[in-house]
Amino acid sequence: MSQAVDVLLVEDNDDHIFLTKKALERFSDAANLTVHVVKDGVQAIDFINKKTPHEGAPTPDLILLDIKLPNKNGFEVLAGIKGDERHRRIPVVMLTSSDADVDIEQSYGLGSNSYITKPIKTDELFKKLRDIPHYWIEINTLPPKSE
Amino acid sequence: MKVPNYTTRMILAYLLLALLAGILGVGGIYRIRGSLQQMQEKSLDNKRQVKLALDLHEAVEQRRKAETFYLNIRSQNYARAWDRADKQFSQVLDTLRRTQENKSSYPVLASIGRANSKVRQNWFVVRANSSVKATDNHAPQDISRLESLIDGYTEANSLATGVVERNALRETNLTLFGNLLFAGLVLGLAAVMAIYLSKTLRKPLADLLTATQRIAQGQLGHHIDLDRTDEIGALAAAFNEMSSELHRKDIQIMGQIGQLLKTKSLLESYSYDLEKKNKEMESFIYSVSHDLKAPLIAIQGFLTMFADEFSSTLSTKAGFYLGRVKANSEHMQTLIRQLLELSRAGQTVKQFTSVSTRQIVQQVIDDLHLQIEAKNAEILVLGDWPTVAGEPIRIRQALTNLVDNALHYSNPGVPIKIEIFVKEVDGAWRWHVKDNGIGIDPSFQAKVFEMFERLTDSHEKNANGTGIGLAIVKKIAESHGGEAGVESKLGKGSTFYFEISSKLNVSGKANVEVQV
Repeated sequence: MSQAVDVLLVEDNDDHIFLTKKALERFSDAANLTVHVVKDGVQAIDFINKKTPHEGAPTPDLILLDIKLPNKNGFEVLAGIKGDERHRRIPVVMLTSSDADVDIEQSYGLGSNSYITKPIKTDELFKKLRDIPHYWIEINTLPPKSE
Repeated sequence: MKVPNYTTRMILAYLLLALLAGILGVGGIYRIRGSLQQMQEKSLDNKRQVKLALDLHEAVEQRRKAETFYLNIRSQNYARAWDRADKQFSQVLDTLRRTQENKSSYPVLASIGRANSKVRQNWFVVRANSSVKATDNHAPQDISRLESLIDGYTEANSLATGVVERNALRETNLTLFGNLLFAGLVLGLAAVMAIYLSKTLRKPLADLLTATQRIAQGQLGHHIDLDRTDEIGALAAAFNEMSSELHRKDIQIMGQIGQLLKTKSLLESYSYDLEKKNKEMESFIYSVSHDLKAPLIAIQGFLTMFADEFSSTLSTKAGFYLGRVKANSEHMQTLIRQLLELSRAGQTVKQFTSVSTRQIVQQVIDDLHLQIEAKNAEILVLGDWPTVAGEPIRIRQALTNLVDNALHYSNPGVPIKIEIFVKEVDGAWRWHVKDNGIGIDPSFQAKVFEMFERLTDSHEKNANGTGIGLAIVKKIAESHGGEAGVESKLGKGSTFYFEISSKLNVSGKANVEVQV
């Protein structure tokens, strides 16, 4: 696990950003993780598509996505990613304060890979991240994706 | 003077006709009877005349016989007999003359009368001659002349009788003809009356019928043009008035319907507004709850980090304070979660699906297994488990809240025993959760389903209630066309229930009005 992993965190609350980053730091392989943060849905889509001001951005290996976001909410971003042939294989974990069944159902319906409710319990977060075999298989066994 | 009205005119006309017919009948009868009487009289008269003629003839015979005897025998006795016969003859002749005197008006009888006087004259001549009693030679001559006169007289008499009979017959015929003419007149009058009736009664009635049919077809306000002052006119006027009134009423009703429709659309717009407001309210609660969540989550996150990093350096007191902050932030989280649930529970159910009651119960027990195990509670699942129509997420939520409550409000020292069963009661599936907990005072039983109402009990620390759970259950029951309720005895336990209507349609929209 020596490969660098780029994580895109889509979150508008600074405290939540701080806490999420702290939680990820405790992850066993934290040294390899680079956390990129965008604060709204439009920025998230721009980041993935490397649009201004994200021209040099890497293609994220994992996206942590909040639902309540300015400009474009998490469901719209999720739908945009999973509806795009180039990006739909990027694992998306919903990271939200909502534990409503409707939100969970809608997330999985739109193709999210996992769903985590805030406040983040580190054990739960790490378990779920490991439960995305696709993610680990890809970043560990496959060569880096071509652009 | 008031013009006789129609009915009066008709009655008068019929009375007139009846009177005319009566006159005709009675007059005819009288006239025919008179003719017959006349004929009878003439006939009797004729018989009398004939008898008189015969008497005369007899008298002549007697006299001639007496004369002959006298002339032959010349005895005084015969002379007296002759005189007697002579007197007799004179009497008969007088009688004959008298009977003829008042018949002179008849021309035929007048000739008879003339014949009679001639007979008399001749007879006087004869008698004058015979009284001399010396003119034997002339006597037979005179007598034979007299006899021929008598014969002529008889003949004329019978001729007169025939004339009288013919006259009577003619009169009878005339009467009959007159009667026929009269009858014709009456018939004509009747025909005129029939025409009058047709014109004055049949036509307006037909007009009325047509007008009534038009009104029946919806031409309210249709009028009959009939200018009459009698009952038919009054009927037409009343009809026109009725028609106008109907028309007026129709316009009025149409106006009212318009008003009603306006009110209806107003109500609909109110209802729409209300629904909108309701939705706004719910989305407000949803949004506020979410916004409340974000800082709370941050607080909890930092609390966790604080505890993780500094707990070893904290004094016991500081640790206790930190614990209270953590407990209260968790309570607040529960409150916010339940507020969200409440807002969702009140929303109209979009679609009902098939719900397996057994599956729901199993899920609820699974969800609560940590608490069940911690409290060492015995859960009994009883009875039949039908498949019903409803929204599974909300039914599960309601049942979870009830079982959760039963676990919280337990009797200290008594092993918790909870029974779950579903029964059909009055067109609804009633989900029961029966416990052996602390029970509820009767005065509080109605209030427990109200929002933020909580039982004040000594175990509140353990209970950790928010006062929203049962309000959510009630809303879920209502969104399924049912109710929620409780039967309880203080200290003995409670049986909470909620209902979902058994009239709900799987795969369709709710076919019952659901209160929100």
